[in-house]
Amino acid sequence: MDKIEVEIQKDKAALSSFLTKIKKNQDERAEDKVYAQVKSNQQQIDFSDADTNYANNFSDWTDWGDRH
Amino acid sequence: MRDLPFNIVPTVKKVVIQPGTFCNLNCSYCYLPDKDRVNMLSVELASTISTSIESLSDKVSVIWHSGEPLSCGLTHFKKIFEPFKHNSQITNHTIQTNGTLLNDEWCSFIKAENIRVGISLDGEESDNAARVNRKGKPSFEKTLAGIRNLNRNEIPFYIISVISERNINRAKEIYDFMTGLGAYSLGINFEEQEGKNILHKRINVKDVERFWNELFDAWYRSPLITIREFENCFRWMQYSLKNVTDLPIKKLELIPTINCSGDIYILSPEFSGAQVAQYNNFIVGNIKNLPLSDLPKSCSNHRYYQDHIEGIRNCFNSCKYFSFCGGGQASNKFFENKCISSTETNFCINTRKSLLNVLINKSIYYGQN
Repeated sequence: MDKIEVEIQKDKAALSSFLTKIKKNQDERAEDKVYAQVKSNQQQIDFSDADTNYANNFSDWTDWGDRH
Repeated sequence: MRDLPFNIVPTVKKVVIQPGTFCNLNCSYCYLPDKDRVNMLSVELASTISTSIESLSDKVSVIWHSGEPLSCGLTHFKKIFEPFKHNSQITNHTIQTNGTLLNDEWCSFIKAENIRVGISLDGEESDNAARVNRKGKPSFEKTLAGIRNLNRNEIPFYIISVISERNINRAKEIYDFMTGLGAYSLGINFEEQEGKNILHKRINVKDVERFWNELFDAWYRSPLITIREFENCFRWMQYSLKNVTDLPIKKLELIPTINCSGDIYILSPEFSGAQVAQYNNFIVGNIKNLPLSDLPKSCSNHRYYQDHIEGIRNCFNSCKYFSFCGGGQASNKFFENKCISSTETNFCINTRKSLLNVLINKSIYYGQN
């Protein structure tokens, strides 16, 4: 049984392409008035800390604080 | 069985404080055992908690929850909030509320103190049949009135929705409705068997997968707001695709929950108020005599913490989704399986495995087209 992180490597190109697409989509929609208004209230999806989060930290996954 | 290839280091990044036990609603799926009682956090105890937070080495966020926080009234809430106002160890405060009591006075206070707001709402009126007041009347309109007050006062808020059999076929409708309300984020919790909520009926996994599929399609067509679960998945994918080697240490959030008597619970706030002799009712101490800074050292003395670590090890050895999940939730394991060191729960199936399977398939499809 492959671990799920190993399985997704088989589709690395498609997944990377998708993640780039949604980031681009966000940037383009920044011109949209309604979207901009909502966006002003939230953080952009930010992958910059993804390494840190998943490499050394359970808390973004196992904690309750974001769950309720 | 293999040992974990990393050390688990318990940490405190979030503190849940119960301002009062009472809730003005009587939702059928609520897990809280004491929501009918009227006990409130005292100013003296609030000061003790704040002092204890100051002793922590890391900064924390504070979540006011467990019971309806606004039920204690604005006058009392201001008094118990006061000791925390200049606490430099606190990065932010969040109130998780049903929204029914959010008037302009509350909004002024929330805005002045820069408190984050999470609203509990399950969708449109028909989706909220479980959310009723003490007379069994729908709470929906009052929650909407509270949201209108937030919008009028320009206070950002997120929404957390409980998905059960009654609204699992309405992903698109729920998404469209939430975007129209002005929320900046939507979180999805499937109804769980926890605490007082023992009537839970397991949701069909095919329905869960269809829900995630439809929610994804609605979001992808019009990504106006963040879906908490999707964002977390995307972060995990980004990390996993980079092939980053795991570090030898992983932090485990203890999420101390302090009830209005000062008793401290760890790992899952749903343990608060549960009567379970084998785990000393999940109480690890009282804030009057147990500083929060001692928790990372003393937690390993408690059997339910030890059992949770054993559960994480069991998950690591048996589940291919471990890197995405991290070992599940202690409260789900206990309330569903009667065993904290167990592995799979409905939470794993609904909010980990089904979610990730659907999103990987969707992401591959949209990545290729």
